[in-house]
Amino acid sequence: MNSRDLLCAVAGIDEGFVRESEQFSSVAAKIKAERKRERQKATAVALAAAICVAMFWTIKLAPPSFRLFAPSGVTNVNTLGQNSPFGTEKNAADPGGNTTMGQDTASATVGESTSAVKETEGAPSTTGDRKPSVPAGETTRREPGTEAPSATTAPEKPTTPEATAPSEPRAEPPTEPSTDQSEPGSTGAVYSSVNVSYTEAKEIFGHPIVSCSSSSFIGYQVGVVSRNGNIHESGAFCLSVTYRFLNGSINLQDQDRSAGSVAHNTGDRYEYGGRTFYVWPDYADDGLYIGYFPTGDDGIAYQAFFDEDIDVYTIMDLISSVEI
Amino acid sequence: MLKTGQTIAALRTKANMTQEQLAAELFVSRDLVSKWETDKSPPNYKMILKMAELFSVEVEVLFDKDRILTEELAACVPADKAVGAKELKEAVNGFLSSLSVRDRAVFIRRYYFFEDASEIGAEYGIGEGYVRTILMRARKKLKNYMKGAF
Repeated sequence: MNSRDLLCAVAGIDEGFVRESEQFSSVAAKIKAERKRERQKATAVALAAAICVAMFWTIKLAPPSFRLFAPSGVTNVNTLGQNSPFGTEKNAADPGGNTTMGQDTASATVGESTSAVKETEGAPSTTGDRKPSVPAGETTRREPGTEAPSATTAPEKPTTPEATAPSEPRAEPPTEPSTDQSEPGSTGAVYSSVNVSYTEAKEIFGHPIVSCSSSSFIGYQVGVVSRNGNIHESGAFCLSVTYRFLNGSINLQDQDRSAGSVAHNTGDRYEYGGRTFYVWPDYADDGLYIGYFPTGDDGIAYQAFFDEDIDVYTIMDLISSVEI
Repeated sequence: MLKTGQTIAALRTKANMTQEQLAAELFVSRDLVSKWETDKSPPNYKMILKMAELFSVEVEVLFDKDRILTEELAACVPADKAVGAKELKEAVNGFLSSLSVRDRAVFIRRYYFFEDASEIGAEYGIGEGYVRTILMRARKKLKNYMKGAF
């Protein structure tokens, strides 16, 4: 048997397969359109959720005066949550959660209700994970500067802006900005992705990275690990730098600083330009990962993620162009 | 689409054959031979091999992608195995059944219709590089399938 025999066998395959392949282009277009619709729907839902959460935190963290004198705003949150498509879906999935949110925010006993919400919602808070749960009657004993005003401060008479001013600092969110908690070596460390200039990226990353001049290049982003999200605090260190492009990104990871190796030596292997690349698809996101790990599990790892319709060789060229 | 129509017509004329005679030799209809010669539909690989033998020419004369495609599939063929055409066809059908609809369609576009990755990508709305990835993965699966089957 040789490859011509194999081609002959392919020439004699079932007609059904042939017809299927001829019709697949329309099926593919349908699948694409459906996925696009699903993505749009998911984005809308996520946006609605983000708005609800933002409103909730705004109200929760606002001075007591605001909540006492602007109950209509509080009620609006509940109404929005119940009437929006997101609210309806959430009610169906977890009726208790949304109801609790509405009741608590509308309640006049601010201190107790907010703590209840925190437990029910599982809202992001760096202190929440570290602190043991507090008995219901002791909600006033919180870490200073990290929580909303206590029940004992709520009944104060905030009749003038001056009266509310002192409570302002306490209204600042603890460390909930757009950061993910990770543990690349130290407990409770926060990983922050920050947009920076080329010079800043080079300085913060600590390696002589190459500037990118591709037409689709958007900018540099550094991934900094710190204890509380502050990238300038002492002890903070840069784990990675990301080149962001219109259709994807290339991430340079310092494996010597990360908790473990990111090298991924499976997938399709490409020998190209004197380098060995590994390509593996991400079906969920219609994307393609391309990894280049010149020094194995140590040193700098290059990992790109692009839309699946971008040519693999173009990405490999891009990775080669930013190799340190 | 292959542009072998003129070549077939030229070789047939050189061999002093009519379309009917060629059709009779290949056990196909005259209409089909006419379609091949006018590039309305391509002959399948079996017919290409038969015509190459009939006209005593190299397969590449009739089919310029022969070398590329046979090289691509060479690694998928179990070495030193004598397999009957029927068994091989059944194995290929079985292998195709094991693929996803998309991967199967891409494979057939390449090895049945002989299309390039760029043509397949344009047809199915996916990138050329990704088509190559799908094909490479499919060939690996075919190789393993053949190993298991024979």
